[in-house]
Amino acid sequence: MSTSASNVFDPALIAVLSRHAAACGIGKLVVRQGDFLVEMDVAVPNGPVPEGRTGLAADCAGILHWRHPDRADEETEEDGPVRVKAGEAFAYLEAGGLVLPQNAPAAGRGERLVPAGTLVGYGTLLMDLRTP
Amino acid sequence: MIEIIRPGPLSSVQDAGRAGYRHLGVGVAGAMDDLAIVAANLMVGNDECAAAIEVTLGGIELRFTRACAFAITGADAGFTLDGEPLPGWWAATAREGQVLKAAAPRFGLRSYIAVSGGIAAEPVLGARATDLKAGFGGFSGRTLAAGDCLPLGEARVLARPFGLAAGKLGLMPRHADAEAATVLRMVPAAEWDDHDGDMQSLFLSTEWKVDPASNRVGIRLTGPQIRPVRPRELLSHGILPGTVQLPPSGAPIVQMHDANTVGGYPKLGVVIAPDLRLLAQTRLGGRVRFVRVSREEALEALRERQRQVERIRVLCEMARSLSGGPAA
Repeated sequence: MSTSASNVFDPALIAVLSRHAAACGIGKLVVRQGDFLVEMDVAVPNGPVPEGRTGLAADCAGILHWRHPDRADEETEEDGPVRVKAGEAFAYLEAGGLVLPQNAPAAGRGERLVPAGTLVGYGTLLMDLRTP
Repeated sequence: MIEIIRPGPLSSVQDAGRAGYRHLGVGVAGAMDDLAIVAANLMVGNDECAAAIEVTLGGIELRFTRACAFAITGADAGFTLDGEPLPGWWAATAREGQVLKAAAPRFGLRSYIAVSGGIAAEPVLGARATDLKAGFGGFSGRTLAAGDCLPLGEARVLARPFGLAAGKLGLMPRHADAEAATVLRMVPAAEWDDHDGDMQSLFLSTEWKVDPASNRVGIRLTGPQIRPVRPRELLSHGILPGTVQLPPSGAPIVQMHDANTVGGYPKLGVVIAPDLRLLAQTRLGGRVRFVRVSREEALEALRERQRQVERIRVLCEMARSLSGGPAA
């Protein structure tokens, strides 16, 4: 893949590259510009995802919250699989004061794969979603 | 445009305020929580001084007549977009026809709704803020009413929603401890020394209760009577938002954004500008306490406020960079 971007370390560009890599099953990315080189491990789901199940992966890095961090004291933590609606924020990633929602692509019941408070990277599988 | 379906108890168009006309008797007006409106504007890519809607005690319901990015900040009033809950301090894109609705906030008093491009009310004396006392500026110089259609500036959309971690960033410091008294830093004013040490100590040690007869003009406080050693008759003189006046009743009044530009009551002090928003978010019946600070400490607090705004600006730019930015 070639790019004309002047700064290949741009976070938006790296996010796009990582998404392509994950989609293609590429587990490692190496980006070089001048004397600088960045190696990234890309989390790729292990093996094919069974029909009716979707692995929901983080689309950026951050500290994982299953509930919005400012509403944690108002909402009850659910045990076991949780029901999610299509488009709903099933998790939030907090990065340096920013809160970024992770939205479900489809409705279903999801099993949370990572404990709240974990620092996750781009591509980390957060939820195993069973769709009807 | 934005169509107001239900305005709630008190909603108005506000911005950063009308500076430079106090000598003509024109007050500043503007958002009571200046940091919340700045954050809301930065979240949707507006100039920080753009006009937005100030919502007191929630209850507003409005319809977007075209797709645009919006942000909600200030008191978390349980906003929903077409019935879907939104977190506080949140920016998202509304589609044409979607309805934004607020319940009553559990904490705080005033929420802000900024839209991309800002509320395009006609500027009056250099600002779009509504001066509710004088009845000009904003939308027809009055509070919003059902059926009002607010013009918007250039609409943009966000590629993805994002929020600010208000608790972590110290944007809503009372969220974690809603029962505690709000601490307001103040510098002593001209008549502070007309009160003896006992009265000064009583004033500073009291947890004052916010009287229900408070509004955008002033916050009335109830507690023990504060009496000067040397009562004085004063000619009316210039006052600012934040001035703590002591009328003959002995119950202090803190002047707020719709304050008169002159007053004749003795002044105990002035609440420093960065803390006025804390008072603006204190609910009726809530408690406040004053702490005396030096001029240098007040100036440092002002610089810290500016640093806080810059942090928010950087975070918002980063969020838009991660999400592809607001597109035309």
